[in-house]
Amino acid sequence: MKQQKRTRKGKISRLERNEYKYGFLFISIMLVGYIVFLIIPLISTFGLSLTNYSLINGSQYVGLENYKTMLTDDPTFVRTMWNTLFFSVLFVPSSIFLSLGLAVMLNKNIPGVGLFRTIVFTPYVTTIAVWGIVWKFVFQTDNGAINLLLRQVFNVTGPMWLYNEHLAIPVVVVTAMLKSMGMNMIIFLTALKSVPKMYYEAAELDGATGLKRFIYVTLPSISPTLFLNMVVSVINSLKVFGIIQIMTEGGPGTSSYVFVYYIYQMAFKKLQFGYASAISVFLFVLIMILTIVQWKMRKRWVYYEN
Amino acid sequence: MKKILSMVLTILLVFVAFSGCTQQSKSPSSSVPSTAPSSAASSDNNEGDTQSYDPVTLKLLMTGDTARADRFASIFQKLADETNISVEVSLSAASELPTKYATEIAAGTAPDIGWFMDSFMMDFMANGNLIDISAVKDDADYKYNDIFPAVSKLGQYDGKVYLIPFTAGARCIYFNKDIFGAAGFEDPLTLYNEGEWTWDKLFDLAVNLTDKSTGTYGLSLLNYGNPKDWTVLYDFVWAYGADFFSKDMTKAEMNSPEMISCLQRYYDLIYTDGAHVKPGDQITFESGQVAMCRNQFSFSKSIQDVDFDWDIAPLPAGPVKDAPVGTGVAGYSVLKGCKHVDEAIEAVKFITNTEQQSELMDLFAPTRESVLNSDAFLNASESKPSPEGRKAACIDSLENLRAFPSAPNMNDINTKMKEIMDYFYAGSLSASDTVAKMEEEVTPLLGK
Repeated sequence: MKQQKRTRKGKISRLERNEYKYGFLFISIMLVGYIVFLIIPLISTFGLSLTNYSLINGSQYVGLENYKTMLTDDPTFVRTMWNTLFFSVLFVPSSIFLSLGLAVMLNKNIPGVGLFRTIVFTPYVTTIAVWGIVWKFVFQTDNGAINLLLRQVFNVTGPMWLYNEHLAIPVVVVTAMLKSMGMNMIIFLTALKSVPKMYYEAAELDGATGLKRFIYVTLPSISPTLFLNMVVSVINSLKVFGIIQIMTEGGPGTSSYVFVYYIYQMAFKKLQFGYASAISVFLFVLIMILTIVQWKMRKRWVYYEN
Repeated sequence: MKKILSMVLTILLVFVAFSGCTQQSKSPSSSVPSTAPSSAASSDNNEGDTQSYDPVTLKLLMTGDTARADRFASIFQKLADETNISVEVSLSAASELPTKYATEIAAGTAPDIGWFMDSFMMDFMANGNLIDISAVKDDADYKYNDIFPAVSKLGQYDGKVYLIPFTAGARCIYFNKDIFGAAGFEDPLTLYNEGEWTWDKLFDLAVNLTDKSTGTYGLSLLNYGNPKDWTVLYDFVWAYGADFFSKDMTKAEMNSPEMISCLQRYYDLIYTDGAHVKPGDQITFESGQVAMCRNQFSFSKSIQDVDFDWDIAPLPAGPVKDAPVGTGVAGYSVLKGCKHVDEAIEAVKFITNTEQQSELMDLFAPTRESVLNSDAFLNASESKPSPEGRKAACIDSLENLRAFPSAPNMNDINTKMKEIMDYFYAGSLSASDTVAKMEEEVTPLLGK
C-alpha cells in the first residue's frame, strides 16, 4: 500500500505518526540508557563541581571556588595540563604516521601479508593491563629487556626509562602507540582499498612518481578517514589513563600526571569528588573545543568527492 | 498483528533490561539459628539493632587471597556454630581499601566490619565513619589489656576505641642463607647474637654480596611495597637520630643533617654501589636474587616453598642507643551503617581473642603479649623462620616499638611524600633538596 503523503502543509498523516511512535519506542531503551548513564551523570558532574563534596566528609556549595583553585592555586593541575598536551602532541602525529605507513606497506597482495597484518593488529586486542605490565618489565632499569640489550650488545648503560622525568611520558607514548596502531592501520587499509585504481592510472599516465601519487591522489582520497582517525586519536590521547596507571602511576613525582589520572587521584585517593568533578568539566570543555576546531577545519583539510 | 508483536517485543526488551538492575544477590548464609543468646547487651549507639536471636549475617572486608578468605570463613564458622552470628568474607586489594570504604559508605553499602591500616584509619576515625567499640574493654574475658598498649593506643581516637589491632610488630630482615653461605659471610642473625648487627654492617654486607654477573643484589628495603612507600626508611633514619615528623605530627623534622646523611647513603647504595634493587625493577627476595630484604612477619607465610634456605633477623642497630623500631598496625573496625552493632563487636572480639590470634599467628605477628611470648609462637609448625629468628625479630624488639606516625589527613601527607621521594629516586633532587622540598610542601598539611 502506497504511503499517504502529507495531506496538508505542515501536517503529518496518521500513518506517519504511527511509524514515528514505533520508531521512538524501539530506540527508547537506548535513549533511556543514554540519559541515565550519560546525560544525568554529566549534569551531576557539573553540579558536583560547584561543591566541596568528599565521600567521607559530606558536601557544601562553594560556587566557582574549585575552578579558581584549579587555575590559580594548583601547580599539579598546571603540570598535568602540560603533561597531557605533551602526550597528545607526541602521540597523535606519530600514531597516525606509523599506522598510515604500515597500511601503505601492507596494502599489497604479497604472500604472508595476512600474517603481518595479524601481527600488527594483535596488540590492539590485548588487554591494556597485560600490555602495560609486560612493557613495564621491558623498561626496567637493570633487568629490562631494552637495557639488557643495550648493555650486552652495545656496552651502553641504558637510562631509567620509567624513573626519568623527561623520559616517562615518551616511553608511555611509545607503548600506547604500539598498542593502538593496529586498529588505525586497519581503518587506513580499508580507506586505501576504496581509492579507485583509475586515479592512480591517470596519475601514472601524467608522469607522477610514487611519492607524488601518494601526496596528490592517496592522501586527498583518504582524507575523510585521516580526519576521523585524527579526531579520535586526539580525544583518546586526552583521555589516556590505564597505561599511565600501570606503567608509571603518574610518576616520577607528577611528571606523567595526565588529566584522567589526576581526576582519579583526586576522586578516589583523596576522596575530593567536588574538585575532581571540576577537573572533569575542564577536560570536557577542552575536548569539546578541540573537536569543534577540528570539525570546522575539515572543510579546508578534507576532500569529499561529492 | 505486526503492531501487537512489536509492542510485546518492546515490553520484553524493557523488562529484560531493567530486571538486571533490580536484582539483589542473596548469598547463602552459613548462620545457624542459635539457642544461646549473644553475650553483648544492646547499647545506646545501636543503629537499628534489634535484640533478637534471629540469625545475623555480617560482612567483613579484608585483603588477601582466596586461600586466606577460606581460612577465615572456616574460623568464623566456629562463631556461627556457637552463636547466631555468621560472617561473610570478601576481599579487596590493600591499596584499594580506603577508596572502597569511602565509596561504599557514601553509597550506604559499606561492610559491617573492615580491616583498617595505619596509613588511612585515622581519616575514617576522625570523620565519624567508624563506630565506637569501647564496650570491648568491659569484657573481662576478652582481656583488652593483653594487647600491647603501644599498639592498642593506635586504635583509639579522642579517648574511644574504634579499632582492635590484629597485627603489628617490627619489620624483619629476611636473609638468604644460601647466598651468605656461598659468599662466606656471617648471617644477620649470627651477627645479632654477637652484638654486631648494625646498619653499617648491613650496608657493607649488601655491597659485598652484590654480584652483577649473577644479577644478585645485596639488599632491598622495598620488598612487598613499591618505591612510593617512603615509610620503609623510618627504622633506618630513627637509628641515626633523624625523623620525618614530630611525634604529634604537627611539625616537619626531616630537614636535618642526620636525615640528609641517611638519604645520601641510601641513594649511594642504590646508584653508586648498585647493591640495592633499583626502584621500579621487579626483583624480589623470593626470586632468590636478593640477599636481604626488609618486610613484615606475615611475608614469611608466602615464602615457605621457595627453593633456598632463609631466616629472619631483627632490624639492625644504629648509633642512637635504644632507637625506636617502627611498627605498622592493621585492625578490625565496625563501620558506620552497621545494622547489628552488638553482633559486629562480638565478631571482632571473637577474631581478636587469644584463641584466634594463636590460630592465626602463622599469618600475622600477634598483638597479644600472651600469644607473642608463648612457646606455640616460637615453636610454630612451620620450619621457618627459626625459633631463634622469631624471638630476635618479633619479641626482643618489643620494648622499643614505636608506631608509624598517623594523622587524620595522612592520605594527603603520604601522597605528597611519595611524589617527592620519586624525584629523589629519579635523581632530580639531591638529598638536601629532597628534605627541603618535603619540609616546604608537607608543613602546610600538618596539624590539620
